[in-house]
Amino acid sequence: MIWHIAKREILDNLTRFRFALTVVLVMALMVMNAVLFVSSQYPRRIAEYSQDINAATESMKERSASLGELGVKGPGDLYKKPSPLAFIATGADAKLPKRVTANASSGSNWTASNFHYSHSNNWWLEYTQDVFQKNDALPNFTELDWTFIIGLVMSFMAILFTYDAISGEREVGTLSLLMSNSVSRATVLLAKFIGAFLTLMLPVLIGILLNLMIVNASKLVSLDGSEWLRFGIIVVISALYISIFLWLGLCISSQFSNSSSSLLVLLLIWVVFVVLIPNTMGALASGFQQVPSRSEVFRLKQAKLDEIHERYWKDRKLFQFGSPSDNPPNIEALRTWAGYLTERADAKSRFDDAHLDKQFAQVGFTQQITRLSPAAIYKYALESLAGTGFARHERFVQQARRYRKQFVDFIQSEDRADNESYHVYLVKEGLSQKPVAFSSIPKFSEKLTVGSAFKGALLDLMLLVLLALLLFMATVLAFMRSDVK
Amino acid sequence: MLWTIVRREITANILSFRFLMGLLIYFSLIVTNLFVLTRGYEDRLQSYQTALRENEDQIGQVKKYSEFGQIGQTPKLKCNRKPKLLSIFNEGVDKRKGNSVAVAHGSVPAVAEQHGSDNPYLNIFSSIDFTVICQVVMSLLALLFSYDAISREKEAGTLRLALSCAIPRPTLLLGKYIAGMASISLPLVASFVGGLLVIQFSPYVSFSSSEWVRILLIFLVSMLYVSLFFLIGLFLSARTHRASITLMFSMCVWVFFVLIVPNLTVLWVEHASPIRSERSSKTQADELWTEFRTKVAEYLKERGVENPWDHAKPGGLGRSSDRSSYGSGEIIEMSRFANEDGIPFIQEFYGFKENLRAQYADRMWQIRKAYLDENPNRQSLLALNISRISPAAVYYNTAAILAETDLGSFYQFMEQTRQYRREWVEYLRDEKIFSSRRWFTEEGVQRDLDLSGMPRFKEQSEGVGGSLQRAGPDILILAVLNILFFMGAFISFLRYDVI
Repeated sequence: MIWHIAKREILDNLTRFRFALTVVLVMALMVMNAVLFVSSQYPRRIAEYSQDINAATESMKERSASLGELGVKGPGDLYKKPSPLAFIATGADAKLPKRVTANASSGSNWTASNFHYSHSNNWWLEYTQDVFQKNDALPNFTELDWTFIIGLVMSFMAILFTYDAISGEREVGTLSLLMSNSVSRATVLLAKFIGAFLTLMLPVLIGILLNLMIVNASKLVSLDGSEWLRFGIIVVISALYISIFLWLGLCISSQFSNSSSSLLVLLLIWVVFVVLIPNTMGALASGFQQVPSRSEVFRLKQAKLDEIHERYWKDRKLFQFGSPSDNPPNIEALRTWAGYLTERADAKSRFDDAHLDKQFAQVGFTQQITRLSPAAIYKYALESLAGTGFARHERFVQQARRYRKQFVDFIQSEDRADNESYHVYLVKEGLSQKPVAFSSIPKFSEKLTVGSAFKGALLDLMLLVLLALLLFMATVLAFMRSDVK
Repeated sequence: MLWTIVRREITANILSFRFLMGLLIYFSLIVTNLFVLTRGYEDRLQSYQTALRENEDQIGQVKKYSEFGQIGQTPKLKCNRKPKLLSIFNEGVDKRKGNSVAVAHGSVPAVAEQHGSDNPYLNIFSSIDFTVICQVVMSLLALLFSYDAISREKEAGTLRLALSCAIPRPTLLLGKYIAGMASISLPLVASFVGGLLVIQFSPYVSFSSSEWVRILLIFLVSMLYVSLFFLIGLFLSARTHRASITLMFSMCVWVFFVLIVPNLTVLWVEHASPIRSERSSKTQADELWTEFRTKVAEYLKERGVENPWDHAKPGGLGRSSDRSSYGSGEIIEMSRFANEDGIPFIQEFYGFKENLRAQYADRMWQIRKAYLDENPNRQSLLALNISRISPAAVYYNTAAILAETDLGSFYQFMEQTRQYRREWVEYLRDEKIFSSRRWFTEEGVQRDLDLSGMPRFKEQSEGVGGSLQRAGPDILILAVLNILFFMGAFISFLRYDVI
């Protein structure tokens, strides 16, 4: 019986105008997304990324002329690799920094009687706001990715498919006719769901296939096994997401005897949860969890640096043993200068890290609040799986910090191997002056496995499942209690 | 007769379920949102005031004039743009394009930084303002109010009944339009008033008379926009014979014009008309700087000196030079001169060098301006023009111009900062500051730095007339579309088959 009704529903849906509209819309958007991605967005990103990486490699090669220099100047800029799955969820990548800098910046010159030393400051991990080249004067817009096509457009379509499923039949009186047969209400409901779900998934799947065909044919993005696995999970999540809106539509539809009223209520729910909540909560949440202001952080950092400077400047401690660039240097001079420079770099590092952590915590908190909206949940899940968005950036920063440690360990262990070195960390003259084999320097690379991606998406996935179940139960209950006339 | 119809329609509308829902949802959305946006405005205002204060402190700490030439991390002179009060209604580019510009004689301002954005990572959350809510929700409500105006009455058979009386069709249509607009403007007016009340509660906000005029204009443009979607619904209703079909067409129009077109144009423009890399312009600028350095070296060579300070023999000498792609600056500090006679030459030298630097900065700006005009600015203009296919984008742009948050007002601000730099350079030249002793040393000069005659930046705000003039074409588009769809609905309804 259930298949009988479902079949009727499917046939009914297929002949409707809204079905044609969905097919055209989804296919057009999916094709457009893929074409834009493979023809301009991704190649441009990759070109800029490889340019950046080449420049970084060159500068690292230059530095590797001496271990001391490499140790002071640091590994150079660390870049975030553009995700090949960015067409699924762009994840506001255009607004997130593309790199962290691990570079020595400016330096100073010290001249006094019988003393001359010029040095660059020791490197530390700096969090810049450089983004991929983009014209920021263009009007504001949302990216055209799957989170837009499915998250926004398809959820809207799901509502258009179900708003009159029950209220419409009630209006024309066929509902009481249907119920006079020996079918249970749950069967009718389930059949209606299956009918709408299958008719809606058909264009979605066609669109996804078209999209993947274009992306795959371009040869730009070679999708390997793990990426196909991620795809599979993404499709399942999309189906789950669409079914949430179908159940919502059925639930509201079962409560009204007039299809235009049920449509109105559904549209308003949709506008609030899909359009407004993800867009207003960001501004609201920043009021709840404050971060220290930029000028305040700058002032505190400066005070700490001044304090260190005072301490070493007192009694001309920095100058009493001579300059580290003397030949041969006094070991005490090396130690004093190493202490001074390292303490300053450490202080900068500490302040910047702490500040960034607070900023990240605020963003994380805001994300939690926006999870009130299923569209936001869906978006975060897709971002985790596609390796884009804020979660990816957070992981990128974590890995950069891990790399910082790895790099320091490498410099120290290389230095230990050289007998001529003074083994004073970290001043240029205190370390080995021998060149370093470029290939032996650890390089920064991000690791992204399906497992970790899936783990990141797990919370969102569970939320979606929970929401779908809740709405399903609510619909069944609501329909059971409603009047068929 | 017209009024009978209008009264009947209004009563029917107001008693309907959709009116109640629309009023409730729209009102609560606007009020909560304006509350949030006002908080955001207060934050921005505070950080603006902090920036002003910090800039004054910076200027107060200046010991030698050459410090004003700094362009890198801590420039001494800054022009800050006050956050626009009406950005509560329309954020525009206010948050994206920055609001703090560094000014120095060696660099012409072209980009703005963001002062006091405490957490730039929050930019990943898109935000929504009054105009966007109106753009998305009110257009939807307008369609929902009008889609069944004719086709539903036909279905129910009441259309035939109404027309069997001595009512001309135009009167009926006009009555439906007036009644529909009257009932739909109720949520709009209520939310406007409620929102203004919420804004007024904030201690930081007080509207000036010109801002009241602007708010009124934004309201009128919103009405024009809502009326357009109402007429589209009416038009579709008069073209179809079943309410459910009208509804589908209306939703299709809405999704296409409100959700898809404004987003797609940007993507398409980025794809079809990309911006060229800035590299060649930067190389050109580099060449100019080399030329500048050569000229300075020639100047010294002609006079047979290697370093201008050789004769004066300063005991302490500190130099730090800044260099960006299109600008440069140099701070110089000398002390403990062994030979005072050498100082006039140093003064003469810096008088020449810094004057030349300012001239070269101007030439550099021409290169950069050419790049900006041909690339990012052209692209933005193209995107704006193409997005005008969608009335939603036209509406947003109009509101942005009226709220002074659009790109045009930002460009005006940047032009003002360049004007300010010209004034500043003139001041430096007129007062012969480049060739003053105070440029490079504090020694032998007793008094504090006298900055009383220094020009100060004052942002000039565009008058309402100017904004209206710029918004004119967009308002005209909305008006013409209104008339077109009204005529469309009118003609379709005249030929409508009522049976």
